Amino acid sequence: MDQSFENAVTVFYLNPENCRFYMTEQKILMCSIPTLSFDARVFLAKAFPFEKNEEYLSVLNEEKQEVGMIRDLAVFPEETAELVRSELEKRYFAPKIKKIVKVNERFGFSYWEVETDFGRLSFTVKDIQRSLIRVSEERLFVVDTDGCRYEIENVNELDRKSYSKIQLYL
Amino acid sequence: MKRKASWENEPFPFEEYFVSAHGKAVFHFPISSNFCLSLIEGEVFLAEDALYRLEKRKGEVLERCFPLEKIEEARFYGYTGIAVCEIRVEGLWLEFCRSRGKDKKNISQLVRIVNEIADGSLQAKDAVFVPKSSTCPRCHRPYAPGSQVCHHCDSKKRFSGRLLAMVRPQLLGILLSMILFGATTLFNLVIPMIQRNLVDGFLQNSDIEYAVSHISSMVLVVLSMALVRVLIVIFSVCRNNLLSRVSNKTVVKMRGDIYRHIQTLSVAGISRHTAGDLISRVSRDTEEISNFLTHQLPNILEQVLTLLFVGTMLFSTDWRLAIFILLPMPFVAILFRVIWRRTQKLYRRQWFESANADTTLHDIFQGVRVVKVYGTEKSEIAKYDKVIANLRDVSVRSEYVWSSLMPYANFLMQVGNFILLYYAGTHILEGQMTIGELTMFTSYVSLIYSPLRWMARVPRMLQRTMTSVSKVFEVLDEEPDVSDAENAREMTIRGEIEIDSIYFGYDENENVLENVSVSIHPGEMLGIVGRSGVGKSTLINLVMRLYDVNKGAIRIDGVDVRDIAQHSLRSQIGVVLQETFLFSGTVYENLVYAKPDATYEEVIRAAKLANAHSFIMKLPDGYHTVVGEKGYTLSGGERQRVAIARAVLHDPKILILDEATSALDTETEKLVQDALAKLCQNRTTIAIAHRLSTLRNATKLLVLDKKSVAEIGTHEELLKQGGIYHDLVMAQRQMSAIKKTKKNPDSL
Repeated sequence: MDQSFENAVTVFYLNPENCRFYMTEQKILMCSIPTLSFDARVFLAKAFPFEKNEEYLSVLNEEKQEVGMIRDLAVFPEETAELVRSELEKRYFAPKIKKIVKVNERFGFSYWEVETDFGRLSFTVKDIQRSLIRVSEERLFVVDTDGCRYEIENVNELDRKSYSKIQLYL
Repeated sequence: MKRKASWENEPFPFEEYFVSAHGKAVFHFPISSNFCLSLIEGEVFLAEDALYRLEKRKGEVLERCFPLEKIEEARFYGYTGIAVCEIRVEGLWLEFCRSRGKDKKNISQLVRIVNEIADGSLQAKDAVFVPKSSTCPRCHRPYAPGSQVCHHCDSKKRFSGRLLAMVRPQLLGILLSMILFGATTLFNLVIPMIQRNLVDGFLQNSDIEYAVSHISSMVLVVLSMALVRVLIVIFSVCRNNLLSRVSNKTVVKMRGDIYRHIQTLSVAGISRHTAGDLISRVSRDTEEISNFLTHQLPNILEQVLTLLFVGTMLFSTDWRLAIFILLPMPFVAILFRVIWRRTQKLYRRQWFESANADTTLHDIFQGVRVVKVYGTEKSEIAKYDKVIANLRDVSVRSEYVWSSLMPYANFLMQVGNFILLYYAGTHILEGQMTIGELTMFTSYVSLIYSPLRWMARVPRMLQRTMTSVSKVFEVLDEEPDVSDAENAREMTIRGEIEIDSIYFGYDENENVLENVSVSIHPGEMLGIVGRSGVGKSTLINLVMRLYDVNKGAIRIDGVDVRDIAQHSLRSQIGVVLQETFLFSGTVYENLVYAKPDATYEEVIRAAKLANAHSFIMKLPDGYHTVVGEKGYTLSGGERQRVAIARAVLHDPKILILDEATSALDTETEKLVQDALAKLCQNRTTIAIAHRLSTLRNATKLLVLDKKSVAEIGTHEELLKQGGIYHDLVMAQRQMSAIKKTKKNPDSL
């Protein structure tokens, strides 16, 4: 097969042997990949953000081009994994809904007040039916008017009152 | 137990703190950053000499300060649910602040201001920051996207006022129909009284002689009853005719108003909504509002009148009996409320499920080719089965609730009748009440429960109407992004275009084009080359002023496009896009779209020039063949040639070709190319093409790369330069060589 084609389809998986992640004093995540003579700032993107939080992470350069991919963060030492996690925290913010305090509908918008792992938050959802991303039978994401996501890990594990507030839309 | 500082549970007065420590800030705005599974409240302050971030962490205020003179650049990153501002200080990038997605507009504004301060074009003290909160300052609830109207605080009063203003021309008709509604209600309520007189005066009169001698009076009573009935019929006919006229006029007016407003919006404004959303607002929501104004509103009057009249009649005739009859009323009202709440939820669910089933079907039919090709019919059937099974379950449940609760409600309503029968029976036997009164009471009792049953639905009905009203006003409140200047000029264009250091981005946080400059003389052809997504189409959209540049200017014949009336500008620009949209109608109608007064000779000449005449003549009805969704399907090349003919008829001063031939096969491309070559003669032309051979006639080529101009010059100059254009040409030559070899392997 053509070598250039081979290069185009081959994913360069990063592992502790072929790369090193580190943080600058300014808290900027850097990655050094000796085989590619690469040592620069990197950005991270989850390939499957709804299912794999620490697997298949694309490592991008400043031009947002992929330099490699982390297949599984677990293979990296804990210290490195923490660095990557802190970068992911900057990139993805999707609080997990633990309890639904209130859902009021008015004029096509619904106003939510929820308890999350980040404390009590309120947000507004437009056209609720289209703003729910159903990942599986149990798991779903609510997307608010600013495009922010809120995750319900398992609708069946919500308390009865919370469940009844969203039952209509499920 | 350690007592928490009082502000730990309340918003910390960052501003007070900042002013006492550093003096007055130029502007400030709140942020909430996510760190280690907690949100940290803070505030960003811009002072005349430095940028500050204050945060409340573990009971302490942490402060970070960066002198403005040391900040070289700022960058905005918009991520999932989070917005970040990074700054470069002494050559090193660092995160200055981050906040939840709702603050992204403020953060991007900060980035712009800091960059302007850094490049010296702005003094910090002169910075103007407009807090772009996506939440209402009164109730702190978020606004709808793209709107600054709070649905919570924008009182019903204001909506009602605007709504009335919108239907003012029909107000008289609506009032008249309400009066007619009232009159028919009153007539309906008079009938039981006449019945009572008939029964008591004549039918139940034991004095037969009296009855016989007053037979003419009885006829009069019967006639009066008939007259009332006739009046009811006449009033109802008038009312219904009036209503249908008023409601149709109201719907047409509202639809017209919204449609006209949508047409004034820019492409960006319209793109914020889906086509389905806009269609629903123009058609469904206006229908809903009109239905409310012309049917439900008079109905409210009817029901309230009934309640008041019947109530008064019952109490004035026998207040004790009235109380007995009304005794079950609260229970009936409560029960109806319960039934409505339950069934409404289920009905809504039913509606959702039905919409879901429709969407699934729509998807399957749209993608039927893919389904067939991959042989996934079975899984698609299973998917649809599941969706309709959900619909079935919800429908069964709602029917169950309705059918099991309604009999109880109906029974409760009958309870009043039992009480009436008992009370009236004993009173009739004691001679204190007449049969006529009993008849009247029975009629009224049946009437009084109808408003009750109806009123349980009022809140939901009002909410639905208000939802439609707010959706309609949301569109009407949208300000056009691109509008004519006050002194916009109508002008005849010669065709000189000057693009002067323009910057533009669809999203204010990310530029698509940066510092692009090029000038084209009248009659010249500019070819734009570059990889996908580099901003080629954006550039021509800016020339057409579908969007306004963020910085710099585009001038036509020396006049800024923003000072030319949009109609005047676009009526002199012709466009042929990669995909041509033909409206449903005949080929002829599609051709004269740009010039409705074109003669048949002109149309045929244009079609000939576009190499379209010959294929049009092969169509079943020639120029009158119906094309579009409901008609004859034209091939891509045929559609392109119709588009070119349309452009020829339009005779524009400036011609824009956006990948006009890229979707065509080589043979058709040749036909279209020839047509285009004729069209471009002596016309300022801007052409975008992936196939560089298409641009062989270009006077000048502009290569876009990384948001700005990478190369500019003639074909030969750029080839000599050996840059991006050279590489592209070589790559394409290689490709065509490979294709040729594959076609003729012997040539090897």
